[in-house]
Amino acid sequence: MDVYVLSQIVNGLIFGLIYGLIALGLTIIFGIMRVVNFAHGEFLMLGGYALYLFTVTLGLHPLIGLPLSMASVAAFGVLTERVLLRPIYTTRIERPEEYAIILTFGLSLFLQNGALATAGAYEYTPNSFWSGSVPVIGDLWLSGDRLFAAAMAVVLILATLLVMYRTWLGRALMATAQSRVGATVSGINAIGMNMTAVALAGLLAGAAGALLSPIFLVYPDVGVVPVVKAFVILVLGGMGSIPGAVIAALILGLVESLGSVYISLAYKDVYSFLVLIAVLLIRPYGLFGQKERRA
Amino acid sequence: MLVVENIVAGYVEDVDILHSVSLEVRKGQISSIIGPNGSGKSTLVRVICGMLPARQGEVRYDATKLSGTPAHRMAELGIAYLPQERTVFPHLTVEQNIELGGWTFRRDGARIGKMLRKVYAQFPILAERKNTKGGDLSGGQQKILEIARALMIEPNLLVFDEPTVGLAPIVAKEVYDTLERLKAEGMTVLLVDQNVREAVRIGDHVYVLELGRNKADGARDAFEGDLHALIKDWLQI
Repeated sequence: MDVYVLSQIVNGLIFGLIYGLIALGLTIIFGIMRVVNFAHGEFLMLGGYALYLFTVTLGLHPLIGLPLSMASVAAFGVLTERVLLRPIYTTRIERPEEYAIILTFGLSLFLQNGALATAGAYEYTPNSFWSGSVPVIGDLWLSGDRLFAAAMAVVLILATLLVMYRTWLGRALMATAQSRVGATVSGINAIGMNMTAVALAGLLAGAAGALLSPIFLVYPDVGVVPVVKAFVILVLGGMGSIPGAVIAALILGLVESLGSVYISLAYKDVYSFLVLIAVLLIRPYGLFGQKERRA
Repeated sequence: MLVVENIVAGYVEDVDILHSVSLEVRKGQISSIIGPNGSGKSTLVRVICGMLPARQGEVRYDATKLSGTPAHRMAELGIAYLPQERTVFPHLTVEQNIELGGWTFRRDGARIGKMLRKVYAQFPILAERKNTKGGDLSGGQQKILEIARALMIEPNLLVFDEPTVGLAPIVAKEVYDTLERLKAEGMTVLLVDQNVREAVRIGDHVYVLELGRNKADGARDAFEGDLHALIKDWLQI
């Protein structure tokens, strides 16, 4: 296999892992709250700006800046839940899903334009996690930042799976996703689970944003394209399915890079949608989809 | 044990479902609430268990004021609430479902294990099917699973809303037998039921609601004779 094809496959997997971080958060929020977070791309953007703030403005080491950026976005997520999303669950509003769509869509526009107004239409470059390049296999070299991003994404995805499948908290989150009333009568605070879900998703989106920012820089609409891919992954994997999101993310990353190699680079962003259409025709509920529950 | 005083409540602004309802559940007894459709039975237990705030009135549980207590705190207080709708976690196994009933003492692994064994001993069918997904059980088995999950906290008070609605008669009998067995073990039960005959048969004290108000109440013996007349009156024939 020549180096170009190999490098595309490796890059595809790396982006698959990063998409996985974004999609996992989106999936957790959707699974527990039945809310599609259209502002998720802006959570990612905030992660990038936060890394810039911590590493360049405040001069901290990027390895300290990363957890701080993640925590900042998680805190923002919690604030969003507390102020904007909680009324869906605590008051009797008609059509809660539509309310949530309009709300998160508005938040997305607000954050993009807020970034434009405060930081300007410039690209910011946070400090690198790992500058320089490293040989990976044979003649294939990769930038340190890409490798670091991939490694961190693997760690965070595994940690998320561990929390979801091996802890009481994860069990409670899944229980809340499957029956809110059942969770409540078992003594689980379902509203608290909403907050936990958004915080977890904020950590993951913040990480994705911070990890990508030294590679692709950060600007107001940096989150738009990645989040669209995360939506594709969400549907591809089956709405609300956690393993589905991880596997679909890797498939998407690979399809994009292999399509670029063997068909045309120009249509890179199209291949994922072709896969999505094909999957929806054969399995309309996605690869790992489950029966529906509503908010 | 449980005192409900002059509760006024409803779902939509300015529309009261309960106009003023009072009742008392005595320790070690089964208290049944009966009444025709729309009499406010389910609304009343939703208020008692914190799922719906009361507009007026008060609910007390021993010395604790329950009004204003969020629903998820009831388990800590020893109150188990079994709503009318299905609340099994369909994609978790039977065992995971039951374990989650012990959420409030999740840090005490020994107690979780002990209670799990106790619950399995009471409901052997669940032990047999412990690795089955909750959603794959039959309707009756799901109801049994909900009861088992609720018993994990060793509740002092069981609030049970329409336990047998939609169940086959033979399964319904099993549910009622379970309730009687729990009562024999000292459990206090508040039962809401459309199955008037059964509710009166196993109830020590019966409350009748009509259009969100107390219509009558009394010990079982007083009702058994009048049952026919009562139902006739509801049906207005």
